[in-house]
Parts: sequence; C-alpha cells; structure tokens
Amino acid sequence: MLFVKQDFIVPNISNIPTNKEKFFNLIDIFYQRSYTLKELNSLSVFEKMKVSKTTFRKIINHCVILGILCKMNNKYALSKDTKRLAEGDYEFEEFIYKLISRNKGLNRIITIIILLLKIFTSLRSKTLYTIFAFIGKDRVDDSAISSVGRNLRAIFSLLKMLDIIQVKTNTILLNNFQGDLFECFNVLSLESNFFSEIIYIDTVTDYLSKFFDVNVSKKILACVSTYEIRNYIWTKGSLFKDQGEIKNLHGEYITTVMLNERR
Amino acid sequence: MKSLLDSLKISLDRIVPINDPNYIIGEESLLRKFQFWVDSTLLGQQGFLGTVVIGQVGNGKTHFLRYVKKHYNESPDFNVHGIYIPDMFVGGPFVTALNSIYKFIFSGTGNYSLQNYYDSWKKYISQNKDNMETLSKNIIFRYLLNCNNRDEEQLVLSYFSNETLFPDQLKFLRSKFGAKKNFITNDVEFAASICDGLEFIQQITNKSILLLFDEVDKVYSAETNSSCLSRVGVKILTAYRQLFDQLNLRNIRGVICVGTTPEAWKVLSNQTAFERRFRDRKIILKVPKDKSDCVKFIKNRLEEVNYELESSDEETIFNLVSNLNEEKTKTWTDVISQLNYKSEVTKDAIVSEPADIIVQILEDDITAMSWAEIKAKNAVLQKMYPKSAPTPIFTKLENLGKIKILSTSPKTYESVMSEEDSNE
Repeated sequence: MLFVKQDFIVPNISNIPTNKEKFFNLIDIFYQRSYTLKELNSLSVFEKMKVSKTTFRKIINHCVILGILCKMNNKYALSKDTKRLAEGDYEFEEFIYKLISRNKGLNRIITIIILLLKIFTSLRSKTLYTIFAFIGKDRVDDSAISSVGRNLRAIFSLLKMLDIIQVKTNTILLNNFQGDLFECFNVLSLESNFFSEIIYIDTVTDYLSKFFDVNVSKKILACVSTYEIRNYIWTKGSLFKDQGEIKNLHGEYITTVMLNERR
Repeated sequence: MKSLLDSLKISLDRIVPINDPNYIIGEESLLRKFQFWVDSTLLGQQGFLGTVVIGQVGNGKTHFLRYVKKHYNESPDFNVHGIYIPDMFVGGPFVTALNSIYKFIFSGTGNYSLQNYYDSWKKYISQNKDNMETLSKNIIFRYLLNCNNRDEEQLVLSYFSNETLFPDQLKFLRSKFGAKKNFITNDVEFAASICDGLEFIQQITNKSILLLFDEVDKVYSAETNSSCLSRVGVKILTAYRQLFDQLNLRNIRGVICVGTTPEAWKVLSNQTAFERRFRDRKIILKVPKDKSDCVKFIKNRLEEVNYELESSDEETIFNLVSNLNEEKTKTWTDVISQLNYKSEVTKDAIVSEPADIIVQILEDDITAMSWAEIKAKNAVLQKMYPKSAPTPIFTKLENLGKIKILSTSPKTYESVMSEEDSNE
C-alpha cells in the first residue's frame, strides 16, 4: 500500500487523556452514567479535573472523535470498548490497541510514524510535525506546525503508553516491539539499505517511493533534509542539474546525503 | 575606532581566504587523524598515502587544505613540505592542462619554485659526491650534474619549474642538453616529470611531501549539466593514476590530500581504479557548526581585520551567536550569511524602535494606511514582522493616543497628529 497526501491529515484529538491515570479519571466520571454537556458544566466536573471549561469541552469532543466516549441523544457516555476496560474485560494496552484499530485515519498516521522512524532510525519531533503539516496541510508556517504538533503529541502519548516509542529531549526513537496490529513492512533503515557512504538523493527518493506516493516522498525528504542535520549530512549540489535534487525548506537543492559519523 | 558590528561586516565580506589561514575551528579530531597519516610517512612508511577531505560547498575545504599547508610548512617540528594545487582539473586541451597542473605544483602562488632549493642542492651535493650514479636516473639531477656554473644550474631549475623562458635560454638548453621546449607531451611524461621534481625535493631536504588538491568538482563539466566526467577529465584522471603509481614505485614518501564535495567524490568513486587508492582514508568536515565554533569564528575573523576585542564585545558576540538559527549553520557560508543578516537588523533596531518607525510613517501620510502599506515603506519592519501586523504595538500606540485604529477590513491606521494639524 502506498501512502498518499490524505493519509497525512492528522485528526484533531489534542486533548485526549495522555496517560493511564487521566484515562481512569475520565472513566470514573462516566462509569455507568451519562450526562449532557450542560449537566457536566453544572456539576463542575472540569474543576475536579483541574482544567478550564473550554478545555473540558475539548476533552469531551476529542474523546468522542477517538471513540473513548460516545454521544447518544445529546448525552455523553462511555463507549463499548471503554466500558469493557472499566469492567476489567480488557487490559489497558489491549484497550489502546482497540481504539487505534477502530480508527482508520489514526491507524494510518501511526503506521506512517513507525515507518518513518524505521527508515530514519530517529527523528526530531519538529521534523515529524513539519512532515505532517507540509503534506497534510500544504503549509509550513509556524501556526500550522504547532497545531499539527499538538495533535501529534497526543498520538505520541498513545504510542508511549504502548511502549512503542520513547521520547528523549525532542528526539523520537522506536523501541523494539512486536505488534501485529500495524501493517508490518519489511523496512530497512537508510544505513543498512545503502552500504556506500555517499548516497545520491534520488536513490533515497526511490527507496521512499516504495512506501509513499512520489510527491509525498519528496516532501518528506524536504523536511528531513531541513531539520535532521545532525545524523545525516545533506549536501547542496555545486550546480542545479535537475536530476532529482530535493529542494529543502530553506530553498537549497540537496543532491547527496551521507551518514554523519560524529553524531 | 570602528564599532564591533562594522568591523564584523567588513571581515565577513571575504569568503575565500587570501593568505593561508593560521586557524581552523572545530576540526581538531580530523587534524589528529591527518597527523597520524603524516606521521606514518615520516616514520618510514614508503610510498604515498591517498586521503580525501569531504565537505560541501562553503564548508571550509579550501580553508582546511591551506591551513594544513601553512601548519606543516611553517612549523619546524615537522619534516614536511606542503604543496597546494588550487585546481585538480584544468579545462582546455589535454596537454595544456597537464602543463598547467605541473606549473602550479612548482611555481603556483604560494608554492616554492625549484630555484628555492638551490642552496640545499649545493649543500647536498657537497655531502653526497659518491652516490651520484644512482641519482642520475632523475633527469633534474642529471642536468644539474652536467652544468658548469651557477647560472646554468639556476636556468635548469627554472626550466623544470616550468617557468616561461626566453628563446635564447631555450636555445642554450637545447644545444647543451637536447631539452625540448615542452617536456610534458603526454600522461607518462607528466607523471615522470612530477616524480622527478618531488624526488629532487625529497632527496635534498629529506622531507615528506604533502600534495593538496582543491576544486575537484571541476571533474565534471558544468556545460553538460550532468554528473559525468568530461572527456578531458577522464584523461586527466588517468594521468593522476599514472602519477600516484609512479610516486609509489619510486618510493617517494608523502600524503596526497584531495578536497572534494560529496557529489564530485561520488562521480570519482565510479572510477574504482582511482578511488581504491583513497579508500578508508576519508575525513568529513564538521556539520553542523556549533555555537562555540561560531564564537571562535567571529573572533578569528575580527582578528584578521585587526579589530581589538574589548571586554564588552564578548557579550555582543555571544548575543549574535545565540540568535543564529541552528538549522541554518550547516556550513561556514551559511553562518556568514546569517551573521550578515543579523548584524544588519541589530544595527537598524538600535537606531529606531518599531513603534517610532510606524508613527513616523503615519505622520508622513495624511490618509489612513493598512499594515501592508506601512510595511511596504520600511525595510526594517518587513524584516521584523514578515507575516502579520504587530497588533500589541498598535494597541499600545492607540492607548498612548498617538494613532487611531479604524475598524475597516483590513484594519487601517492613521496618525492622530496629522488630523489635528488639518483641523487647525
């Protein structure tokens, strides 16, 4: 399967609970009960959760999008899966897997993140934000990147709960994990796929095109070559030859890439 | 006395080093690696080692090579003679190209002509009268041994430095030695002549030879827009192969160092016969440059224009560097262009506050203006606020009663002062 532009549109779920404790706090509120938004406001639940009224409304909305809560006749209640978690039928991790697999868009985004991390070994969070903003929204301005970032951080927190990734000072690394949920690709990292030290950028584009649409591959490389300058050395050509160079976000035409031995 | 920012601007105007630089920043580990290779030739390793310095445009390849040359030539601790060749590949017809390269080696800017070794030669010959026979394979020694006086010897040395000679000098050389006008007419002669020259230097000074080649990018032609070797390029490359083989065969000790972009090296590595002589001895210039590197860089550049650092300057430099965008400090050229831009903005900002500029612009005009119109009138505002209007400044100015904000779409602004004037 090739990933295309549409797969990079990040759902708006920035305010979902970001750790196990917060999940159970939410479940405690809704366990065997259902409320309208008005009722929730009058009960001042948001004060108990130490958030503002608007944030609380967002939490509820985003949870509905992700399928943690469901909305019936204007009343909010726990969704089926969450109920089973509350009743002890599911382990917590199993529950998160269920959530992700129910949501096709989210599933794809997570697959893309894992795929990119497999190819580039590690990525700065800024690089990932820019990739999703550039491809999904066709924008690279600060506000686009920060709004995509908010939503991606929520997704990262889901992945952290599953112990799939770890975040170290703004860098995201992949843990060794066994999971049959996400489409398993036979992916080699750039290091192990290309043995020679200097790699022409068009070969890298070709390699990425095994997984992504060609335009998407180029955009990914444009972002990676702008921000991942510590692990790799992306070099400008001495002259523009129109032979598959990648134009990075600073407008430089990148022709070759090397591994940076000093990292 | 000029201010720090002015001096910095002057010092940054220069991209390519004029004199061989006496500093290098952030490449200590590479220099150690390089030193190791040089040491091994000094310790009796026979033959030439091929090494490569890889760095992209503006990353300091030329700087590295020229620093290395100066470092080894000027320090008495090393028994090394460095030769810098600015262009590894020369355009034009093949034989002319070979002659120009030869000329660079022995009489190019900053390199020593063979005549410089006249005194050493005299000293050498007085000590080694007995083993002259083994040396006479070398054509330079053979010519010199057959000279009758100092003038003749010096003429021979300038002939082998490939200097342009007068017709009567050439006539003399032809009648005495049977010398041709051009002693390089093909790649074999090219290799042999360079080896003779370098062997001559090595014999009389007992130094290791450093051959530093620059501008390897010229290996592929710019005209064809393609990353392949031009026909003359391939021929020159073969001549170099010949040369490197000869150097090894004749047991001349030294290091060849080639400064190249990754792109050009990729093209050259397709010529595996050439590339294998350099395999496993690559050094890659530092990317990206650290902030501490940038501070050192600024200080060194200021030193070059004879600026004396004051105690307050430390902080200014530190501020300048901390404002640099880390994603754009891949090469020194990037650092320079960022510093140029930054020093301009800081200078303008000191002259006037954005609020003052806005008020000034509005006062100069009687009509209400939108942000886009205001911005178009001033370069500083364009640089400071490339995207949207600085709303807090406008609100502040309105509260102070200096301007009025009209709720049109888009919002327009007018000066309160100008209205009062027109009422009077």
